[in-house]
Amino acid sequence: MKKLLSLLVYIFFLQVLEAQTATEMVHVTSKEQSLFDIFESIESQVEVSFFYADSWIEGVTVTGDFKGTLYNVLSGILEDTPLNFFITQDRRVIITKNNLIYSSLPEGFFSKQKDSIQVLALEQPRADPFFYDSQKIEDTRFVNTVRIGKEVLGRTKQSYTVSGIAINQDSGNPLQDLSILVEDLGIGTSTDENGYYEINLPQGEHTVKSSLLGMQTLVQKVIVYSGGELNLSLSENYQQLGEVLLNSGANANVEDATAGSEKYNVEENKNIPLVLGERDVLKIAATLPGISTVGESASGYNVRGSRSDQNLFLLDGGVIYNPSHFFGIFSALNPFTTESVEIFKGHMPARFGGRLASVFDIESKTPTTTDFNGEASIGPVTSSLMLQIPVVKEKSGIMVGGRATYSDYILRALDEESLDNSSASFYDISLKYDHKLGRYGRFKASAYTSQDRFSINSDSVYAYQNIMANVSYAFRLSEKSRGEALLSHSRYNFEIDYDSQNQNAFAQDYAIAESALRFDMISKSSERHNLRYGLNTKLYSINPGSLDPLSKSNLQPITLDNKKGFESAIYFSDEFEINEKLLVEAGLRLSMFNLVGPATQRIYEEGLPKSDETVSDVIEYESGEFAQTYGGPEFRISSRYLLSRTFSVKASYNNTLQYIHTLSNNTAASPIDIYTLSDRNIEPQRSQQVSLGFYKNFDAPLLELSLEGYYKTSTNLIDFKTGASLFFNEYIETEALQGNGRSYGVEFLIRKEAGDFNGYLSYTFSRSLQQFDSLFGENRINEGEYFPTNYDKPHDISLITNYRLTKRFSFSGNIVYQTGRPVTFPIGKYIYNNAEYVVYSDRNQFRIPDYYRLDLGVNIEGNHKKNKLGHSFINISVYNVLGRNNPYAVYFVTDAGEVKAYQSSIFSVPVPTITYNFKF
Amino acid sequence: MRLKNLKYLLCAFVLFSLGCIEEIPLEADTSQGILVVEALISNKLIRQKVKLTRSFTLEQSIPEFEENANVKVVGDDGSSFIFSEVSEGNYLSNSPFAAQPGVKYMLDITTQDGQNYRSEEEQIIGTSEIDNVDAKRTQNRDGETGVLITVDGQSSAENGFYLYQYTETYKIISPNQVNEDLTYTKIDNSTYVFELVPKQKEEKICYNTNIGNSILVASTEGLQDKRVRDFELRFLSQENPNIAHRYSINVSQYVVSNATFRFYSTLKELSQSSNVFVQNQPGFLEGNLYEVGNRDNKVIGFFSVVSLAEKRIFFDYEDFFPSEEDEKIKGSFAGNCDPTRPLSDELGRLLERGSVKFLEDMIIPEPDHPEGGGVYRVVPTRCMDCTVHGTNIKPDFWIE
Repeated sequence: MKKLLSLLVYIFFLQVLEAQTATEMVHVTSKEQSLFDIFESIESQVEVSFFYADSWIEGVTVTGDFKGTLYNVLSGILEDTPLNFFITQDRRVIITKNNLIYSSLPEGFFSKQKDSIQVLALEQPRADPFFYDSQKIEDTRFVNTVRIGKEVLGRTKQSYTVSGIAINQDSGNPLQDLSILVEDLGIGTSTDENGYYEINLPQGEHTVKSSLLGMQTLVQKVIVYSGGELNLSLSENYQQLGEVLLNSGANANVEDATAGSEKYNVEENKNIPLVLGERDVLKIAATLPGISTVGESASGYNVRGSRSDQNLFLLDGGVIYNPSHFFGIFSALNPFTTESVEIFKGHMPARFGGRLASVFDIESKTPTTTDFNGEASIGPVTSSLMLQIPVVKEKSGIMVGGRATYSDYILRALDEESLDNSSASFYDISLKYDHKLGRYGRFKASAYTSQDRFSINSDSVYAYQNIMANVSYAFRLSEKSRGEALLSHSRYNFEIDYDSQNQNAFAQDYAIAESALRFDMISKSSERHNLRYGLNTKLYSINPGSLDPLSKSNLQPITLDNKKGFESAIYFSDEFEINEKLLVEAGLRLSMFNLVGPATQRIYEEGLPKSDETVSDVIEYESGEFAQTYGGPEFRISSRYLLSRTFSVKASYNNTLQYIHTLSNNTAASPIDIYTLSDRNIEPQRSQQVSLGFYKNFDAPLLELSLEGYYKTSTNLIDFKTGASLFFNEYIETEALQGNGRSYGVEFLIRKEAGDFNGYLSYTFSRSLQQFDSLFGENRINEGEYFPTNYDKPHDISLITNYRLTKRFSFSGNIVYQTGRPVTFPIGKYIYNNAEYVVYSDRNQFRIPDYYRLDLGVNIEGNHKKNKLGHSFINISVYNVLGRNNPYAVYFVTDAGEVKAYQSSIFSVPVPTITYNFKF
Repeated sequence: MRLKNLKYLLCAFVLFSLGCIEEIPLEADTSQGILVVEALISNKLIRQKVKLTRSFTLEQSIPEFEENANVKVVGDDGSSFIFSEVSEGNYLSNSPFAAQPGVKYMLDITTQDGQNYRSEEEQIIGTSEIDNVDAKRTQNRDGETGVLITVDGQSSAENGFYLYQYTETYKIISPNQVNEDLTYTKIDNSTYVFELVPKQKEEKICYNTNIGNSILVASTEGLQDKRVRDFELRFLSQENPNIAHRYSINVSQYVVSNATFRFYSTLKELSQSSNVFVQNQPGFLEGNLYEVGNRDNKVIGFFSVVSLAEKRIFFDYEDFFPSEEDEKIKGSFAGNCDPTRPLSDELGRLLERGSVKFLEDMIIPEPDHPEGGGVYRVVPTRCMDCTVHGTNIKPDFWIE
């Protein structure tokens, strides 16, 4: 420290002479020339000598035409490098890496010197010394001091509004969620989806640090004289690609008011080894606390003990019904077109609704408007390609991405008889167009489709498909309020072709579609209030099924009437900063559902089980008539109290309503589950949740810790009698049971974001129970007592780690452990019709063995020369290294009159994979 | 990567290769026996049958029979039929009766421990008619050649729900046939005296009867002309010894209620695997029986009142497989019938155990003969005596 001090003092006295050398004129024209050559060229023009370590400038090339004073030329040349420079009085140019040599001391170092320091600060970059660990500094860029407004004599106003737009220097796109931290004041804000931010700053000098993962952190000296504009331009930071980072914004997790949310960037998770090397947008979610799946091939996610049909998947604001390929082994979202995923599992902001448990808010990448670029990958199962094409420079761009599997080709190439009748194929395509209109207006269009087709050793071919398309327009009404309008259409349909040779050959299909319109407004009415309000409505249209006989078939065609309904809501929420410590986000959503005719509704005799025999009346509703209306208020309240700058406590209360239900009598969600709407006899599902959590960040080594507990109850959950038939059943209520759910848990997460060794450990203890009670025995499950759900896994641990050996090599590993899920086992046998059958236990009375798995991966990145044509990335991974035969299901089959037990597992052997990714 | 290596990968990816499913031992667990009721009362005038058993633990293989129960079927026309136990757990009505259309019947059981069980009321839904039972040569899905037996049927019920059962009877002809048996007299442990005597019983031609135990349900719901057509009852591979000579199948077609149909369909569904990824939620299968005064107590089974039609067909192996090639392929229960010539002490022991039968008297033994040095040529009993595989009593219905 003493050494440093004397150095600083020395430099302080050099400053006066420095200006002289710095004003001599220099001209450098460089086209990918190395710094060696450039420095040599400068040395030939003016009488200076350069001092540096070779290793710092090795491989660094610069392109451009630089003309002006030596100081300005050097500033320009070194701007995009991690290098700084200092010109001494004896005509030496000292090149430093990362560290600035300060020509002035931090403010207040010598209190009497204050005036002169301020004068100098206008000429030269100057910042208070930041002593970061080396990792951090590398990613940080200092730029010139910025002055905002004019100093007006006698003005006494304490603070001014500074606002601006943050953009990605490389692509020209606005940066969302950029955290802007005023370090000296300990206050901050973040940018919205248009890159816009506003912050109140007191008059005077401030250090403003802007950071976003994947971007080079920008630290600026800002001198505020009065209100004004400060636009930010950040460049991408390739060095950070290798890290597992899950949260953006410095202390966002501590500071925001949303309890129980998770956000991750897809790109940053590319090192996590996953099945068959497929980078998976959603599977990562299951490693986070409170989110699980029934098993490796289950298509749904269970969030905080909820059913898989209670999650709302939004891609750029449009609903995706089944974002999974091949049952559920892969997610159907292309990782190369997806930017980030934000999951609300606790507090659900009032702008979202329609599902009980969670929102998966998935953003696709915003197309670049400056340079053409792309990404491609080749893996053993799929290949994918993503292209970003600027349309109007710096105004609009288009992104298109596609992914397809060649498993069908492999299947055919294999000489394996048992696979002769099998096929499996899938693909997905994403498209996004983005157009800036004026300064704040923005038009976006997004489209998505996924398609699956498979046949497993049988006469049946299954196919399912998602379609989503939407357009949105974001606008600004005033400095304080802005809004967005979105028109969206989504569709999910599946088809089963049963092409047997007998009279029962058929093609059967099912489809659900929704068309939605929504307006959302954000208004920062005052410094302490951030209002959000809006309204939305959607029209559901369900084709509950039709059946077409295939040739030779003796079947009668069936077409059920379409079912239609409106789901609408208005909402209002206020993020109210009551004081520095207490932030409350209070929201109210009023939602309503109308079942629209034509519809036939049955009325059943009261006090009797609903069956064909107990129908007392049938009401027909005409087209357009409201057959049934449900609705209610949904309170969405979450609050945060800061115990210190890095330690907060959050509490929330939420209640939600759901008017759409999947009908399934399988143990896990499947692509051929059908959806139905609430009607006279199927009431909406309701849920409420309270949660309390503690969030703590540690600065040095950037550890993030959270502990959160929740308790949730639900009503009107739907289940079915054993062996219920759901297809072509117009009166599902005769088979359905409606019951209660109860879940609770504690979630723990420790996360290290940066450094060579990073990753996270999540542990969840949770229970998920349900109850189906009734006056009638046939409508009860387990005598009407609470029993565990199919996805009740009390202990769930995931450890995701990444260790970076060098810039190019890193290792990653996952360890997953879960309590085995509950299953219904036989407890006895009986003879019926001369064959053995089993007597099943109470529902979910037993558990399959615990699940555990270890995955390992090595990632090799190509070198990061800035001007290289592209960046390559190779991932070698082994899924389930231990070859643990994790049972997925246990089932009992009567074969030739005898009962046999079988166990199926999805990935019972280690699965090695290599994938190659290329970015250009 | 060679394709062979890919195969390994693909088991993981495609997952439906058999390696990913393995049989596991059934876990032991105790379960108190639940009453199991099998009762299908038809419109045919016979002594109707009710079978009562108890469920048993997974390690056991034989059920406990529910004995000494009072069983009766009561009609809402005032009729009542008492059943008596004729063998363990099997109860027959004391006199033959036929279920009448329009009459609702209820089963009433009082077990020996005094518990009273009843069924919901059930009645005949419609008539039952079998249009045709057909056997034809075909190939199944696995490419195997054989005989497929199908049925065509109909009912007066608007939506026909059908349950099929079949009984198959086939002729067995012993591959080795002589008219004499070898008897022995034991002198001491290793000394026997042999004598040839004429056969005492028929051992050349026998018959065996099997009752099909798979659940065969069909429905004409959703069909255009409300007829069951080409419903696949049974596939017999060409090599199946059941059809090696003459074969007969008697098909019973029950027209059942929707509830009965669903009970059997669900039972079937729960006892087979659909695919690796999707598993039906298993659970207790609710029937239409309950304990009086305690509806929570579980009872397994379904009391059905049905209308019945039956049809029998016969065919010979040569009807479908006439060529010489076919003759070589046809199956046999006997298996390997190579003769041997055991020495007298060995022969004595084999006869004592009943495992061989006389084939030929060589009179002069050949000590170095590959069949052995004994004087009598014998074959395994299964090759000579067909009563090992069936009965030598020709069934009444049998037509050559």
